[in-house]
Amino acid sequence: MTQNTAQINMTQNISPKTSRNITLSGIALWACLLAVWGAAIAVVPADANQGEVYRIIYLHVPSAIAAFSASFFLALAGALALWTRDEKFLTWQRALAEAGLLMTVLALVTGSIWGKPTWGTWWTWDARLTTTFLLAILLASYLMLHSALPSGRQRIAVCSGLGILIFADVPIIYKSVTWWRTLHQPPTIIRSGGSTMAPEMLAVLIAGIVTMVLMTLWLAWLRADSLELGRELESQTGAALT
Amino acid sequence: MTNRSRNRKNSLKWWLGAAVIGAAIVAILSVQLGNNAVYFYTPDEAVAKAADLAGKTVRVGGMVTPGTVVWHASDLDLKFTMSDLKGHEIAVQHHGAPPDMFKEGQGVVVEGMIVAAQPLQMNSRKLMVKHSEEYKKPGDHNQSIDKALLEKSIFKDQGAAQ
Repeated sequence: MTQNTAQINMTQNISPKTSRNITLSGIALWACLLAVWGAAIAVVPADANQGEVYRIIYLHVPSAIAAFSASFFLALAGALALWTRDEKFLTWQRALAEAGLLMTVLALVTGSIWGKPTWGTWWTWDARLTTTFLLAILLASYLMLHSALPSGRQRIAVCSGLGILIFADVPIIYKSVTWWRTLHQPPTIIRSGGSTMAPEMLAVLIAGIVTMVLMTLWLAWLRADSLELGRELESQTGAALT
Repeated sequence: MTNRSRNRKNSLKWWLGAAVIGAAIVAILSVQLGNNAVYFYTPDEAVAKAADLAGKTVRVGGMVTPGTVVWHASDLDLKFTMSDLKGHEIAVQHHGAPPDMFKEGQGVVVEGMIVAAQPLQMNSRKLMVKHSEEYKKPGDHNQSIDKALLEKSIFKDQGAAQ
């Protein structure tokens, strides 16, 4: 009974304003995402070489860049946690690692589905695919470590250190197709000599990237908010929720 | 021992552990992905190293020479020549349907075994297409740099793996 009362008090305390902001931005982002997918399927032209199958690029590239962004903010939250020793930044790290892992897996799966009809293989161990696979492993091990360690200063130090290390993989993934011979093609958008994509395709792709990055941050926000709520409930009721 | 100094000692231990993991990751990456372990050889490297590579499973990347593709759909038999466009050629024999994007002049990476050195012949186990980073509208062939991009990406650091 006392626990129930605490729960009711908490839900009233957790700032209805934050909750409303999350809902509103979520609706806006889902609308943008559906608009981008609609344009990707029905508005942009097919590719001269690949035909219709290339349209998966509008999901593949945005999820990869969203995974990079999540890793960047994971490292940033790591630095802030080490600086301030505030448990709040560790909560953010967990939320960002979860969202980042989701996006990395999405990039790997869409890449694999795209690879079969175009390259002729679901998977190959070239530098781009291997380093992206490594990012998924690193984020998964971050989450395992986070849940295995007891909360406290030590967990903040260890997880934040790993979170910062994980980000080191991102520039390696990005440059892999330039540094080494790979089956994966080199960058299309950011390259010397300008983008190698038709302008109407590029516009939709960039809209997709921006939306997916914001979507990932939104997912992390949603998750961090609920983890924070759980943490406060734990401290009030003594129950182990998170 | 006070709490504070124990904490400091523990924290040092974790930092050392993290540093070791970090160093291991960097070491594995540089050994696995450095020049010692190229993902595919170019035809001139394969020709130069043919004796060493014979009997091993290797990957070789090149361009499909126009006019050399012979495809027997009835027994899934594919033969073609790939080259580095500089006179180094490899005769490839593959069993199975090629990927949709396979065509004359296309970039390919062939995984298989070198079975003869003079002239170089390869039995392909896995045939992969390497396409360029260019995306354009159908019919928009003006100023296409597709082929140049592909050659640049496939024959990058040619001769580095010798």
